[in-house]
Formats: sequence, structure tokens, C-alpha cells
Amino acid sequence: MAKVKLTYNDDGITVDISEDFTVMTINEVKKALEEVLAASKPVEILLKEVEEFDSAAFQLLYAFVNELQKRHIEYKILEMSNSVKNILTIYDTEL
Amino acid sequence: MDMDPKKTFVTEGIELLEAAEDSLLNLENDFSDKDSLNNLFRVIHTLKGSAGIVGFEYMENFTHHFENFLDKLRNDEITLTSDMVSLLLKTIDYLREIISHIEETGNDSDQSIVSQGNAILEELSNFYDVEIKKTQKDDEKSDNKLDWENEEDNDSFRVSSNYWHISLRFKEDFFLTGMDPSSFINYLKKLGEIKYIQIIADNLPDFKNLDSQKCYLGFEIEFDTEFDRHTIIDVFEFVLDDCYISVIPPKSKIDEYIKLINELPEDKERIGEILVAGGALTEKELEIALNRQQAESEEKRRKFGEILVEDSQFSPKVVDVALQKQKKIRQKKAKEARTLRVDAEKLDHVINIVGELVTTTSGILQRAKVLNDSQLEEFSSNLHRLVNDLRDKSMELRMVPIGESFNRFRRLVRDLSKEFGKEIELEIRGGETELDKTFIEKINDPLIHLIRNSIDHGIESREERIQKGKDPKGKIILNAYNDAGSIVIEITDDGKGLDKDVIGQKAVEKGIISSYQHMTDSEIYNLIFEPGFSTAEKITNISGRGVGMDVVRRNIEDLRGTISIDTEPGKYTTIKIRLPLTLAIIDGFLVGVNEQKYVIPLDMVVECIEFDEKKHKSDTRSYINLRGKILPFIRMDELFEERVSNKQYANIVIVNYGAQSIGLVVHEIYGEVQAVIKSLGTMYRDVEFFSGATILGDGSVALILDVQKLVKIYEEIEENRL
Repeated sequence: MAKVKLTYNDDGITVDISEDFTVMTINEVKKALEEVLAASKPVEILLKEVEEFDSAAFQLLYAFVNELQKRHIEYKILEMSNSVKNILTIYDTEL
Repeated sequence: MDMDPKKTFVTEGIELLEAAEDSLLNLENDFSDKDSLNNLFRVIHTLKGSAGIVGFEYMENFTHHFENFLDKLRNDEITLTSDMVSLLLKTIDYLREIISHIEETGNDSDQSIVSQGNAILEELSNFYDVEIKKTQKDDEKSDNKLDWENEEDNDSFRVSSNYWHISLRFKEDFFLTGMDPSSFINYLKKLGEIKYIQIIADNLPDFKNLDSQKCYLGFEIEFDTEFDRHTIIDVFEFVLDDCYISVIPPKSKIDEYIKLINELPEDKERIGEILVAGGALTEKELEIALNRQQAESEEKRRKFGEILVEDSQFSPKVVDVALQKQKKIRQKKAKEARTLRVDAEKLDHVINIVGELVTTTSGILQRAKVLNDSQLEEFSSNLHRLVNDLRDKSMELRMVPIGESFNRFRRLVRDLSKEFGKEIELEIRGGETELDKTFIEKINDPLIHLIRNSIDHGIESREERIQKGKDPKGKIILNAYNDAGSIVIEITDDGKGLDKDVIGQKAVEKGIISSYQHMTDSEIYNLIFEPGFSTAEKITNISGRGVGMDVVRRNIEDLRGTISIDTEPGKYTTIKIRLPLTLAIIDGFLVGVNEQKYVIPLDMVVECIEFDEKKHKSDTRSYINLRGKILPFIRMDELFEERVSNKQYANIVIVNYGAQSIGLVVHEIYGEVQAVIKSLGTMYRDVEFFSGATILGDGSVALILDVQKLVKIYEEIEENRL
């Protein structure tokens, strides 16, 4: 299971993703992120509680970030768990 | 698709080790067999890569050492010896143990495995000492070779990068296979340094249209490593079917490209792709050459290889190798296209459904006859015919060539020959003969025992054979063939044959028989299948405990098969196993005893004759004179203790098993049926006379008679009477 908590505040939306964020749980995360896009507000993404993270999840975030950039929506990725960092290190990239 | 990579690893690991053992045994027969050595290397290399990918680090490290050793052998830095082959076989056995351990525990090591592995590595290291000295010499040689090659190098083509370039693209359903690109790229780092990695997201749809479970990612990687192309490719061994991978080497010479093309994984069919994948041609050069070919008129259009050689001054040698490769790939693909790998469980499920269909169709046909509806009868007859075809074809799906199973005995023969100090050759014939998969699994143990017996008791020592004027090298022939609706497997050894007097005396000593003077040769030979029989003068750990041959016979009989012996003293012994084509469905002969119906396997029914009730009414004899021959019979209702005094017997069904014929006296004869065999279950395991049950077309249950046991029971009854 992936848990996605969206917190709306005056400055924008905080997306807190936790537990397993993998190909098996990715659809529910995508739904939440679509909701975030629809709001067109600055986004903060918290990934520190992500326990499992795979390339499908990376791809989703990659596409999400592209979309945010395309729409000129500000975003920040504040904290990342080791599993997220591992994949980013392997791909030698940042989000 | 199996989602568990560890399970896949275990399955493939077992197959890889079988292939490794096969190559090694070939190599033992011919130390100069480079193809087998290369195959062995490739297999171990693949195993190493696979182990690494699924995270079995211990196995990965161990196979790495093993692979290094094999590489030295390939490069003639170590000379292969018989002792070395034994050590390599031992290493393969050890790897099998690791795989069993993985299967049982999910882990690739424990204290015992590590200590065993260390011992093997130490043994291998004894050869490594030799290796180091030789390597130094070869370094000198290789320097000289480099100079020579520089002089001879007339090919101008070079790639510009100092690093390997790896292009990776994945199929869209890649994530759903349970694999992750990051695992492979991470593993790649173990082989060298990733100098640069670029994520290719050209195919990534916009967020709204993104199917998040599909893989759209690709990677371009600059990679610095001292490993070869093959090693790099093998990192992706598990997923070669699910990704596109192109590996372009750093600057190399023509011979390197030729070698690379020869080592290409066989997944490219067009010559351009072969050259690109081999690193001998870049994508850009391929595009240019293809455009040039396309621009030429159809009548004058040159072959792709000609364009490369004529216009791009490309080495004809490389093109020639690529063409050969292309031919090989096409042949392999044509072969592959004819086969499909299917999960055995799924196949069994289909067979079960077909079995039910056979039963249901019989019911429809029967009902149609009762209703006397000619049109319905015609339709149901057609349906019945089609279902029969479907049944036959389904049964064929379970048939697999026996050759693979036979090949496993090469190792057994090899090891036992060495143990007994005998030189024995195993010849396999009829490996293409197909047998029901269930049989193949179940005859393995009986065959092992029979081969062990041949080696232990049959084939004489080298000295004895020389004395007898025989070839010092003994021979065992494993032969399989189809014969009259059965499969026959023969195990023949050219040893001393069976001695009927020795067998007879031994049987008397053991109290199995009181005398063998009036027994036929065949009856005497068959005594070796009796429980407790052993003629071995000394008990070995191979055979001779007298608990084997009776078990062998029972196992074969459990499969509804027979076992017989043909032998000539001093010359040979052949054990012949005859098995039915399938276990699941039989053609049967339906009979009635009182109100109950029984099925007799049709292949055992010889004929039916009328039973003269009056003639035998007061007769205590249980035999008739059938065309001058005595035919014993059993009144089935008496046997089942269901005698109903006023019920008239109708017929004697004469059945044949082995050399024995008996008559089964029944009340009704219904004719032929197809019987889908159902197990009687554990509750009925002690019930004699029946091998199973079947559901008839009208939904009633009929028991299937075990003719073999009936014959045996009859023999026992007769013996007691005497």
C-alpha cells in the first residue's frame, strides 16, 4: 500500500507519500497527483517515509515534475528516504 | 508469467547446470572440444549474472571464481586433465546444492555451504598457481601478437569512444514482469564505472496519458570496464527478451569485432543490426548504408554487405562473419518458432478438462441413442469424434522427448565407471522418442537402478573383458522406441549376461523357490525381480542389497507397464520396459458383474467367449479347454464375494498379462468405452483388484480392474490350492 496525504494550505499543497511506492501501488499515487495538478498551486513533495521505491515510481515522479515544469507550477522535493535516494543515485539524476 | 525472480532463477539455474554438466561430459570425451568448453563458460557466466541480479551474492562470487577458471581453460592457460574434469563436475554438483538451498530457504548460503565452497575454491586454486605462471608467459606472447597485429591491420574502421556505449530500451510491460531497470544498471556498476548515464524519456507521454505501470524509460550509458562485451550483455541475461540492448565497444581491431559478432546474443536477424550490436557499425553508419541501399533501383539494388564493403571500405571479413551469424540466427529462429514453453500445471489442467469433456460427450451420445433422435445422434457422434481428436492431441501435448532424461545418465555412468575402475561407454538411442511427462519423472529411479546394476553386476572388469577377448571398454545402450501403442525402453549392457544356475540356486537358498529344475529360462531370470533376491557376492553402495529389482518392477507396474529380461550368458543383458502411451485416459472394455460395472483396459483384452453356465454349474474346476489349451478363469462375483445365486453368467473375457492368460467370468458385456482414470484416493489404497475408477456417460461410476493384480491373485490362489 502507498499512502498519499494531501495537505492544502495558503502556500500550496503538500504531498506526503509514504509506505510502498512501487509499480504495484502506483495507480493510487497517480490519482492523487492528478488532483494536485488540477489545483495548479505550488507543490511540496515529501518522500521521507517512502519504504519501497522502484523505477516505475521514479518514472511517475519524473513525468509529474515535467508536467509541473510545463505548467510553470513551483515545486520542491523536501525530503527523501534512502530507497528513493538509491534509485536517484543509480540513475545519477535529481528530480 | 512468473512474477518471482528467485523462482525463475531456481528453474533456470537447474537447467543451466544440466547444460553445464552436459558440456563438461562432452569435454571429457574430447579435451579439444572448444565448442563444449565455450558452452560451459557461457552457461556459468550466465548463472553468475543471474545470481547477481537476484541478489545471491555468495553464488555470484563463487561462480565468478569458477568462471575465471574456465576462462583460463578457454585461453589455453591451463591444460584440461581428467582430475580437473572431476573437480569441475564436483563444482557443478556444489552449485546444484546451492540452488536446492535457495529453493528451500530462499538464501544462497549458510555455514556448511560456505565451508564446502571454500574447499572447492582451494582445490581450484591449486590449478591457479599453474595459471599465474602461464599467464606471465602469455602476457609476453600477447605483446608480440599486438605488434604483429599492428603490422597486419589494414582495416581502417574504428569507433571513437574510449568507453563502452550501452543503449537500453525496455518493453512497455517491463515493470509488470517484476523486473526493474535500476537493478540491472546497479549491477552493471559491479563490473566497472558508469562514466555517464542519460535517461531517455522521449517516449514518456504527458502526465495525463501516462499509464504508470508501463515502462517508457530508456538509458544511454558510457561505461568503463575491463570485462568483455559478453559479460556486459549477460548483466541483462534475464531480460533480453524484454528489452533492446545495444553494446558498442571502445576502439577495437577488426578481429575483436569478428569475435564480438560471433558472441552476439541471438536476437538480431538483420545483418545491419548484427553489426551495430557487435559494435562494428554505429547506428549512424547503419542509417547511411540503408539509405544508400534504398536509393538504388530495385533491379540494381546491392546487398547490404556489398554496400558496406564497396562504399564504406568496411572489412569483408567482418561482413562475412556477420552473414554467417545471420544464417545461424535464422535457422535458430525457425526452430524456435516451432516450439512454445508451457507451464506443466496449466497443461495438466487442460488434460483434466478434456477428460471431463470425454465423459460428458459419452453421456450425450448415450442419451441421444436413448431418445432415438437421429439428428441429435448425428450431432453427438460428430461431437464425440471431435472430442476424441481433442483428447488425442491434448495427450500429445504432454509427450516430451526422452533424450533429455537419458542424457542425465551420462554423469551417472561416468561416475560409477570411475568408482568401479571400469571403462564404460553410454550410448543413447531414440532420444527423440516421446513419452508422457509423468512417466519420464517416474521412470527415472528405476532406470538409475538398472544402470547401476549393469555397471556393478553386468559389465566385467577391464582385465576380465580382455581375458574373454572382449573390448576392454564396456558399453551400455539406452534405447527408446515406439512399439504397437506402447513405449519401449531398453537398457542393454555387453557384460557377462545372467547365469540361470546362479540365479536359480540363489533363489532356492533364499527360500524364494524350492527348485528351479522345471522352470523355463525366462521364469528363472525373472526371479531377480523377487523381493529379497540378490546375487552380489559383496554388497556395495551401488546395488546388491536385494531391495532394488523388486522395487523397480513395482514402480514400472504402477505405471501399468511391464518389465522383461533378455540375456545371453557371456554376451549381453537387455532389460526391456514397456509402458503405455499415457496415464490419464485409457480405452477400456466395459463389463457388468451383478449390477456393478467394471472397466478392463482394452489392450489386455484378447477375446470374449460365451460361458456355458450349465456345463460349469456343478463344476469345481476353474478352467476351460480353449482350442486345446487350458485357460483358467475367475468368477468375478465370487472374487468380489458378491455371488447372487440366480444371476446368469454370460461371458468369459480373456485377458492377457505377460505370458499369462486368464478368463474373467462376468454377467454382462457392454463393449468399448473411453475411461478417464480417476484416482481412488487414499481411503481405497489397500483395495486390491482396482487401479482406479472412471465416470461413465450416464454418470455412474465404474471401477477399473487391475488385470496385473488379478493375474497375481489367481497365481497365489492356484499355488495355495496345490
